[in-house]
Amino acid sequence: MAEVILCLSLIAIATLGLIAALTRLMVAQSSSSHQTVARIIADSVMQRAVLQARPVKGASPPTLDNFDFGTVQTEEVRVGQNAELVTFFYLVDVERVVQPVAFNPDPVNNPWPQMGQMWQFKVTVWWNNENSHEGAIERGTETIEATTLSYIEN
Amino acid sequence: MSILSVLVAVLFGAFEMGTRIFRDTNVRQSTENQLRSIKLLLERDANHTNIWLCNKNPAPRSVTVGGDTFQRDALSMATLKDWDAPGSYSTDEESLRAMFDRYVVWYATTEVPQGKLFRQLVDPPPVSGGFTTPYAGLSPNINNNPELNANVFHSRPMSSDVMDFTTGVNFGNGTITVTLRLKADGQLRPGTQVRTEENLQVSFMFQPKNSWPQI
Repeated sequence: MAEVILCLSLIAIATLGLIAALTRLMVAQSSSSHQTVARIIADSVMQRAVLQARPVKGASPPTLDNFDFGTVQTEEVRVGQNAELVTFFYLVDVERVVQPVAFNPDPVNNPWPQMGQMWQFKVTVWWNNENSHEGAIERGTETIEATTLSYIEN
Repeated sequence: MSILSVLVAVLFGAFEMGTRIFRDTNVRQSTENQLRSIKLLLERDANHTNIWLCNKNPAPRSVTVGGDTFQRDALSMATLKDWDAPGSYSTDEESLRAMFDRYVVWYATTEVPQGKLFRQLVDPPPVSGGFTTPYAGLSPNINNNPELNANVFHSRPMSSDVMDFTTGVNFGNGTITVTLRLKADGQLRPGTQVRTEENLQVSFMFQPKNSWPQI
C-alpha cells in the first residue's frame, strides 16, 4: 500500500511540475509577439530619426532638431490574440560622438571628405507600463533598446 | 482507484494543454518568422533601388473585413539582374549610376479576410541604358493569381495572412513607407468557440540609397 501511495505521489508531483512548466511557457509566448513588434518599432523609429535629424546651425554644444528627441512618444498597433490595441511608448536620445584623431590623421594636408557630425542614437521602446519602462515580473522584459551610430550632414 | 482516476484525468488535461500550447506557439512563431523575412527582403529591395523609379498602384485597392477597411497595395521598385556585373553601371564618371534592368514588385492580393503577399521579379522588354521611368505595367500585373502577371521572372509568396499592406512613395524626402498587418488563424480551442490567432502590425520607413539624381 505504501508503494502505491508513493507512486501516486510521485506522479502527482510530476504532473504539477509539467503544468507549471507549460503555464510559464504560455505566459512567455504571449509576450514574444510584443517583443517582435517592439523591435521593429525601434528599428523604424531609429531610421526615421536618422533620416530627419538635422544639426542646429551655430549651436554650442552641438544639438540636433527636426525630431522629438528626449520626449516620450507613443504608437498604437494591434498585436496578439484578439488583435488587442497595444500602446508602445518610445524615447529617442542622441549623443554627439567626437571622432578620434586617428579617423583623420592629417586633416591639414590630406583632409578626408566631410561626412558630417557623428551621433549616437538610442531608442528605448516599452509597453504595458505607462510611467516607467522596467521589466514586469513573470512576463519577461518589456523594454527593448536599440543603438546605432550615424553621420548627420551639416 | 478514485485517486488514480483523478491523476489520469489531470495527466490527460496536461497533455491536452501541452498540445494546445504547441499549436499556438506554431502559429505565433510562423507569423513572426514571416514578418522578419518580409522586413529583411523589403528593406534590402528598398535600400538598393532608386526613389525616382518607384511607384505604387494608382487606384486604391481597398477591401472591407468585418466593417474595417484595409489596403492591399502594390509597390514597384527598380533593381538590377546582376549587381556584380560591371556592365550594370553607367560609365558616367560623375554618377556611376546603376542601369536598372528589372523591377521588383511587392503586392498583396485582395481576397478576404486574409490576402497573400507576393514578391515578384519582373523583366519587361529591355531599354538601352536602363529604365528611366517607374514600372508602367504595374496596374494590370497585380492579379490575385500571380501566374496571370506578365513578364514575371520569379514569384515568391511571402505570406498568406495579410490583412493590410499600405505603401507610400514620398518623393519629398526620398523615403518609402510600408504598414503591414498580419493575422494568422490557428485552431479552435477545445470546448470554446475561440480561435487562436496572432496579430502583428508594424510600420517601416526606408530610404533608397541608389537615388540619382539626388534629392
